[in-house]
Amino acid sequence: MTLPRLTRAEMLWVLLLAASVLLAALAHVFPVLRGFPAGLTLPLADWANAVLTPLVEALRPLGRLVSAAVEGPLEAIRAALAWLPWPATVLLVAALALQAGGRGLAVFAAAALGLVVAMGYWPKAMNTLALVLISVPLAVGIGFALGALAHRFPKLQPALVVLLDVMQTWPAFGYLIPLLLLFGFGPTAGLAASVVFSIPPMVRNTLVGLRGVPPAIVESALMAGATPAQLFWQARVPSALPQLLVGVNQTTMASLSMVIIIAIIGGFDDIGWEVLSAMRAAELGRSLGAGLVIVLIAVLLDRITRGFAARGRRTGRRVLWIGAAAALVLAVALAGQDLLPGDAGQRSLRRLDGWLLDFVAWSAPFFGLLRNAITYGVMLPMRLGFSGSASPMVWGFALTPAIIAAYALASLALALWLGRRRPMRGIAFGFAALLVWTGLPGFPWPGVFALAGVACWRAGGPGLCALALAGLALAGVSGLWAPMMQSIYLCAVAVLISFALGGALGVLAAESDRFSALLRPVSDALQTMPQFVFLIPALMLFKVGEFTALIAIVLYAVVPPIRYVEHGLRSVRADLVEAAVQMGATPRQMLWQVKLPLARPSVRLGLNQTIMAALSMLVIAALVGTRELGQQVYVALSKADAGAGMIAGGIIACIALVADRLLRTPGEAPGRTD
Amino acid sequence: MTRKSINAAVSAFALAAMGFGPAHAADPGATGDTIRIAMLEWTGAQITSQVVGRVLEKAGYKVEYVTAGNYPHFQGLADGEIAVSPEIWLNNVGDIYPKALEAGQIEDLGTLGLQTNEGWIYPKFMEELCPALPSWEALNDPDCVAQLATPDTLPNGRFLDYPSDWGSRAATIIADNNLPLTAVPSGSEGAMLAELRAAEAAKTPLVMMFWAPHFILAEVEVGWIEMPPCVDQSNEHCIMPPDVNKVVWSGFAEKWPAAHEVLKSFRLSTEDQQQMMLAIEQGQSLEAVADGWIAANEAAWRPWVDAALQ
Amino acid sequence: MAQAPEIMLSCRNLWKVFGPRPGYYFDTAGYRIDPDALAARLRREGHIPAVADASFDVKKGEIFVIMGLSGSGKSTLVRCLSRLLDIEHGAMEFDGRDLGRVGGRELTEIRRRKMGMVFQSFGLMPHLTALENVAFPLKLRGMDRAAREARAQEMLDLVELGGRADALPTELSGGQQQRVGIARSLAPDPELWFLDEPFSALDPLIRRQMQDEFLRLQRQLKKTIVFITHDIMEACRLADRIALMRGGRIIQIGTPAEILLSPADDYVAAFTAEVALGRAIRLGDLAQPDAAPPEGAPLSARAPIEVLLPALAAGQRRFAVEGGRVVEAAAVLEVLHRDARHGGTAT
Repeated sequence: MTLPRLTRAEMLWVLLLAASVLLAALAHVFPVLRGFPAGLTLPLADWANAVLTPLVEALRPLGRLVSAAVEGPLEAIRAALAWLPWPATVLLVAALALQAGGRGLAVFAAAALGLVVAMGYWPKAMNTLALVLISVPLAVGIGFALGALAHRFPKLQPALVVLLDVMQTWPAFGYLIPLLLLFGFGPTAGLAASVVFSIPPMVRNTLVGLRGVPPAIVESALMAGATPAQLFWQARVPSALPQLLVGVNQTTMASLSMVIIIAIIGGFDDIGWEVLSAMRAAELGRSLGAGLVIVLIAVLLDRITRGFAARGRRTGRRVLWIGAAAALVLAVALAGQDLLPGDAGQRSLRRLDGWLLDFVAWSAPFFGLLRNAITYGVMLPMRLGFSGSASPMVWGFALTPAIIAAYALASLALALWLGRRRPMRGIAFGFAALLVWTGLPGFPWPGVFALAGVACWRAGGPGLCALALAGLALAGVSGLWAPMMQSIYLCAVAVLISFALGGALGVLAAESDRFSALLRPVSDALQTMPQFVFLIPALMLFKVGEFTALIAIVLYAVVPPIRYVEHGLRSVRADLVEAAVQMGATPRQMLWQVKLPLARPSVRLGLNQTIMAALSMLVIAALVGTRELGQQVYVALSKADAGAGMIAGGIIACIALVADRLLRTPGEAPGRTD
Repeated sequence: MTRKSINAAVSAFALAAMGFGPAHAADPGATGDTIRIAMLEWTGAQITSQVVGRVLEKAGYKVEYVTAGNYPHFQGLADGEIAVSPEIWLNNVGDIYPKALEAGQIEDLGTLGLQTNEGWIYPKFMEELCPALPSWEALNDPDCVAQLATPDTLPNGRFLDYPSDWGSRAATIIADNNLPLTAVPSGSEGAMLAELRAAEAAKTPLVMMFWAPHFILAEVEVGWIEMPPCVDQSNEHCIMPPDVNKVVWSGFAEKWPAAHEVLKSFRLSTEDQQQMMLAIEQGQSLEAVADGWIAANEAAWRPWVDAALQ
Repeated sequence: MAQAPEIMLSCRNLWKVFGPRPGYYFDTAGYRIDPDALAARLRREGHIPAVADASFDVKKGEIFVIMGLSGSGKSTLVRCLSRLLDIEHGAMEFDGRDLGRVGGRELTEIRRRKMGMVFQSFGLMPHLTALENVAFPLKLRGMDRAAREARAQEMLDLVELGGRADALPTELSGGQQQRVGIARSLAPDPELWFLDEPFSALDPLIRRQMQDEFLRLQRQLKKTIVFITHDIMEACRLADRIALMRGGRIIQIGTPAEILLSPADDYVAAFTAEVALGRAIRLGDLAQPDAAPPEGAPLSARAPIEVLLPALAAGQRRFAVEGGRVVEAAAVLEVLHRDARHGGTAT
């Protein structure tokens, strides 16, 4: 067998592989190579606290001032929404929906809100709405200002992009303690987290919008004699308005999702609190009901803001005024009466729990088998590796030198065979075989540093490499190496499953309109339903542990690949498909050799989003008993250890940033492109 | 608050209290200012809060119930945003509580009077699978342990522990006694309840850490394992019934002296709380249940109020 | 011709350079710049001299066309004249002021009252109706609503779009959008009117109509116009004078006939070769003053010489042109002969 000549890059990878194998072998002898050496850890959390505590203390008066300024209007909106009798509110929202999206949307609005009333969640839903009504304008205002600033001073943009990514990926629980210290107990701390999380889409859309204003419009405004302020407000902003409204829409969605998570603080008796309480009591019916309320509010807000974004200003406002007037009349007429239905809705929701338990009892053997199959087949090999999980107890045989040798030889032979034409394939297989041997968390730590460093350098240049190494070093030095590897392992398995499953569903949806229509509401619900809701049935079927965490993560992370793969396949140019048909491509060839390669940018973006979604679920998955970074965030929260929380959250953000940069489409990658 | 309105409030209160001479009465304090009471996540605490609130109302105070997360709410207590948290389980206060107590930001008003329990439980049907139960010796029996084993814990049996952020005493005790069990942290209370319910429904074996009073114990029949003798009496190696105390903001006594007295004497028994939990499980509203307790137990609360005001 | 017409805009040695540090090359107060050498050096050192040493005068009331292929610097030049771009070097005098040096409020005021500009891609505000777009410059300078809308309606009527006042730009065809653009640029009644390839984005037929429309408007309004185009036929149809640009330099300035009949170099000659001279050269271009014009009504000086073809075929040798001038058949035939040599029959 002759081997092809290797390029320098391939040589480098072969060397790395050889070094990794050596390290893995040595790790059996020197355990210090396995986990990050304890001798190298530093009391980073204490240092962080030493910086954070005085800082927060100094900013406290300012924070309390902000709290007071925010809570006034918040209380006013809440009181107004509480005072409005529900028929008046429903009428008002329906009129708004009519204005934004026509009759269909108005009917949907009325029906959805009616359901909220019937289920007995009206007051809590209104409290949530009050939170959103404060948090969205704040986020939109700050985001718009930041975007405009970055547009005016383009030199700020690179730093801003990184900041936005960090804001979106840093788990909110990680900085909850400093927020509580700063703003005090109350809705402001939660609102602050929600605003932090929902600013980025507004900034991004503002930038895109302002950048997209045609030069002719700017020039024509200048030639019309516009002052700088006139140019901005009368030419640039109105021209960018559609994009700005897209930003408002995305900000609203982000804000709503965060308002739920942040309810852990309490103090506002909103739907998020209800979801958390129901989760705490493990009541599926209640949590599903509350989750449904959120889905309905999300869909309504989404359709209404999107409707306004698409419609522009060319519709009469009459409907709206009539609706508002009628609502006011109704409000005055009905004021003070108790119109809310009793707890019949709640009682029927509770019935669900009985059904769920019956189902659990009936299906336990089947789901137990499924759980065992995936645990043995996928999770244990990836966590403990072949070397760790092969024992007579688990797989029926012990690890003897003969077996080790056989494994090594078989892997080497396969790697050489696979790499005979494309060396990278063989190298990739080599790494995979090594990983299966050691398990992800057991991979020798110097190897992790080397691999991440080289991969990041090649994909994104020295900056990305430095970021990746800094993140790894931070995890190691702060004593979070094992949870970090555990996080990566859990996310990797979840991404693998989500991407395979979601990709397959996306392909089917791209082929069949009916299937696509069927799938869409499901993915909408999966994405907007507070993730806590899925935890209860998953727990009952699969018990506490990584597997349930995996299910919860997959349920959320399966949506992006569905969407992006379908979108990518559907937007393949029709003329290319025709050309392929004309050349005699079978449907299978069409998919694998024409459509999927052409849809690659979209598929790649889908993979990127899958990873982001999986990482964002880590903190929630911790609620079913995991050992990863999300759990560390909770532990820090319970210890009121701001520094530890910040560090654990920071490492998650770091992983997300690196993964994102690694998977950007080559055109977007900073530095080199291939 | 102006002096005038204080006077008005005081006299209004005096009328309500039939105008007895205030010989040793504590000063009612700022009765015009609302006392904010924490409503923590679990049903028991919410019942206690509602009952406490009603008693304080009987003593002439205005109260407001604030939903609050267990950990975050200590910050509220420390700042005075929340005035009272009447049911704090001292086994689940993280490091926040001792820090705040040490800093003098909160004041512990002593026991709530609940008869608590904490330990290892199992669903009752398991006594057929492991006949040695409820003795802890059952957990040394290979047949019993095999029933508890899962792929994650092989060859050991699986033991469902508290969430990591509540500490890991169970793992220590397992180690102390060389039990063939692996403690798996549960992540959250909800996760523990879901497992217990599912175990009961599907008749799958389960041993877990738990505490009482808890509403689930009215729903699922469980047994408490008779624990092995403690290696030493420290908290880490020995499970004792946890203390459940009433905690107030450090400025409470000064602002509402009489309410402070009322809270000090306030007690709620386990039986009462459990009955109320059951009533809520059966569909009654929290408010109605608390009203019911006030109506039925005037003999209990009237002396607390009177003692504080006279 | 009576007295020499007043000069409206005078430009001397304009330079516009794109690149990392254009200012560095013009820190040369005192000594003369050798344009070719400097342009070559700029290119060598990673800069683009988009406008190099442009000098010309635009007379009051004339249509001054700047013509060149894409990349020749013509659009950059007009942006320098309107100060959308700042020049590196040179002097521009307009309205008694050094246009290159005015800034801030003063520049805004000049643009609000004395300049108008039409853009190739129209530059209409997508959120405003046709009427509001036309009224936009008036709104910016603070005119009250009724007055500016009346003026805008008047302008729309002028471009024959009075009936579409409430239409949004997306509801208008390309030609209609550019009419709105024209109306908008004329709304403040500017003295100096810039048109940057205004008709290039339109279909050929519409373009032709718009050119006629433009000439009609100019006859009515008598603005001073700087008109940018890459289309030599358009330049010849519209221009009083043409400035031809290549690589940032102005290589020839002259009337269309001068450019067509006496090209400055081979590039200009090649450029103009495709033009049908019979249509592009007007009688006025060839007419000579003559004491004894032939009989018959004099022909229009703006008429293309091809109108003489039937009469030439019939053997007529001298033609009277308005203003007491005469065109000799020999001159006409010489031009037509050149046409035939180039095979030039392009429109």
